[in-house]
Amino acid sequence: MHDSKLSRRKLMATGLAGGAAAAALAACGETVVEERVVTQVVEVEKVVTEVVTETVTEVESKILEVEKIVEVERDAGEVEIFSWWTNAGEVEALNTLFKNLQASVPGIEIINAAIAGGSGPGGNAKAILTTRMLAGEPPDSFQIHWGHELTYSHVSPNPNVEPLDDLWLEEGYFEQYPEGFVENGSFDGKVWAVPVNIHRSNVMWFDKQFFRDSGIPDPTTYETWDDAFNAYDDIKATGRAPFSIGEVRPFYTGHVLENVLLGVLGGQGYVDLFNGNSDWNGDQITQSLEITKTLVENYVNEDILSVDPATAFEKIFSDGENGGVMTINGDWAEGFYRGKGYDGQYGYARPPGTQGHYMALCDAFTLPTGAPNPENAIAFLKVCGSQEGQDEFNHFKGSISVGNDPNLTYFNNYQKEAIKDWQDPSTFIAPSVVHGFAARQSWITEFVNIGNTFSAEVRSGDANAVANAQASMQRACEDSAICT
Amino acid sequence: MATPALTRPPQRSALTRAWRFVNRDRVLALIVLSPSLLLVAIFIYGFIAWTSLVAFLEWNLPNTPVSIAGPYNGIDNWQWLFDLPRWYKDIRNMVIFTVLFLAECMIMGFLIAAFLDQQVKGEGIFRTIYIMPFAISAVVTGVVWQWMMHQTNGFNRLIDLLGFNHILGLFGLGPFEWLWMSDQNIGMVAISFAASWQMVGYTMALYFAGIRGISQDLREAAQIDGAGTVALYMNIIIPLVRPVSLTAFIILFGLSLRLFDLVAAIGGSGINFSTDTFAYHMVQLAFQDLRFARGAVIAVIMVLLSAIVVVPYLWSIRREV
Repeated sequence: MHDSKLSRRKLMATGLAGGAAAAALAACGETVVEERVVTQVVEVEKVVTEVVTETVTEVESKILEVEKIVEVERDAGEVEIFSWWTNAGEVEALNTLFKNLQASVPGIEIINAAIAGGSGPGGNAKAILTTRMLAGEPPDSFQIHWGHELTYSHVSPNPNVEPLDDLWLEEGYFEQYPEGFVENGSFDGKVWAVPVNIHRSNVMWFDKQFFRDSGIPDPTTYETWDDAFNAYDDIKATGRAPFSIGEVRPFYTGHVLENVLLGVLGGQGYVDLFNGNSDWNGDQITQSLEITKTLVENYVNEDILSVDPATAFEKIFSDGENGGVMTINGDWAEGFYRGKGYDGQYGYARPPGTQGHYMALCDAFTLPTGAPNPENAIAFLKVCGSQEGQDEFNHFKGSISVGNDPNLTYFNNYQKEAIKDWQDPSTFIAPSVVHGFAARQSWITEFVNIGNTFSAEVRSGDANAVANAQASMQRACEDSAICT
Repeated sequence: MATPALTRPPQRSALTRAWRFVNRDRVLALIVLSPSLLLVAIFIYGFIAWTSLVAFLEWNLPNTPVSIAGPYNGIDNWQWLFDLPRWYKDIRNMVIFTVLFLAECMIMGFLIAAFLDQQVKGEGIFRTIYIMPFAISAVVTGVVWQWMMHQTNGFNRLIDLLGFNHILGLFGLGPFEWLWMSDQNIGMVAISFAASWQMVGYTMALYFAGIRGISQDLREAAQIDGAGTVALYMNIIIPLVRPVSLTAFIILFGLSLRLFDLVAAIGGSGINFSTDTFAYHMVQLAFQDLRFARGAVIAVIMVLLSAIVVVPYLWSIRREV
């Protein structure tokens, strides 16, 4: 340290000596040299100043840029989105929402809290969400089925999600979505979530080739279940099972049953079952159960009780004589069939009696009370509710947009037809029960469990299957405080 | 410093005497134990108490404000459960499972331990192999067995590939095509196979330690008296490992009572609730259907059932000490 100080002093001394020498030179009168030196020094100074200024401005602007990025990232923060979309198609669809969110909030950090098991009657995902909500650690937004599942799991009697009327008014969703649909999902005169898609539950999928080859009338011609059963006898005569169901766990029979109910009772009759206007003791319920019994007893695949749903709807094409020729399933089957390479082989129709009806189910997102990043959650909800956001999402999901002005280039032929039905004011929008639109979660569980027991009893020849199921249905309705 | 103490005999104050009476060690033990005692008091007994209260609360909707003050609905939740057909299927399943699971684990565990005790070469390797499944999580076990007991894969396929179906055919018997857990009647039997596969090794380890603990003198004495292997086991070894049997019984009973993860991984409540269990039903009620009070009823019943077995056991241990 002492050395360096000394040396600095030495340097200064040398500098002074140099300056003195220059002064001495000038004093000598050698002006030319002096001028030259001066101009050169000035020029050098100029260049140096220029370079330095340039560098400084450059560095300054760079610093500004970096600061901007840092600031944006700090301000954008994060957002945690809880869903049960983990399968092919669903993941791509969810990613389009995330991509659009990142475009609208640059630098936002998205935490994808997706857990498998929530579709249909639900499982793990819903249980995990419940524990998080109870613990007071909600995500910023979570997926839920629009309708009673949302209302009775999160809104009534004391909401743990925020009403979103302001957002709906601001973004104009009330004008863009069908009125009946909005009404069905509202509670206490308010809306509590933003829908992102519409799936259709009443679709009958069938093997086109089979009907071309056999000449038996295909499902597009069945007006009633009697028509269907007549055709089923002919199909059975060819050696193939007419219908596929996979009931290894409670779900599929319930899904078929809700479509039989809609076909037998009609739209209003069906809706009345879930709003307390009628009970479940009526003859039409018995009739619906008898139809389902006939179907399960005589016309389904032999292994109905040991295959899972996905296997059941693939059996139409993959299982030769054991597989059914048709099944009833939601329109996610369309994406599934395309993904499995059955393009062009499947046809679709309405299950008997449900023509002109749209049995709908809808995924929606919420703003939980106490969400850590409510502003980002709102930004996410805006993406979910917007026409472009929905169009891009549904392109991958296989469902359709809720909004009234979809960009048709995103949709395939099946979806275009579904959109036409959805937009048609004469279409009756019926809420699906097994997918949470028409009934609260506990009723959904009961409903699919009743379907499961029903199929098991029918297959083992229990004569009381219909009576048991009807009594259980009534009990489930009473238990949900809808029937009295 | 030491000098005054030497000159004056130590005067015992009342406090010191009390201190001695309380016993230093005990107080120290209490201080050291208090954190864990506190945690156990809150997180085990406190929550058992709260769950017991919840079972009588009107709490079958989410977001309902409830507290110790109520609202109570008497025995409504209990009434509801005991009116439910599913509940009786659960009871049937639990009885079938517990009996089979205990029998399979204890018989197989004892037999394997007895065989290993015959001075087998590579005893350590066998021990490791048998105890390995115990180290695998129940969910993995469930997924593996779901595949093993698949209608067209696993065992059914193996039997077919080995040609047994051909042999059965020669005798006019149908092909072997068990539905395993998809069969309404034997669902729980299939589950018990998977559960025992996992726990047999553990039971074997318990018995093995017990058998090895029996003094060689006793065996030799019995052999000199002319006892054969069977007599040796029947009259000497089995009676002497009775405490091990009791421990194994208590542990396995507790496990079977709270069976959840294996069933959840294999396929849930099954066809017509053929593989439904108390724990599975409870989780579905409380955390899927948000019927917290009804779920609590099942939880309380489970605690009571395990208490019926565990409390006498603890009592017997207490007397022995």
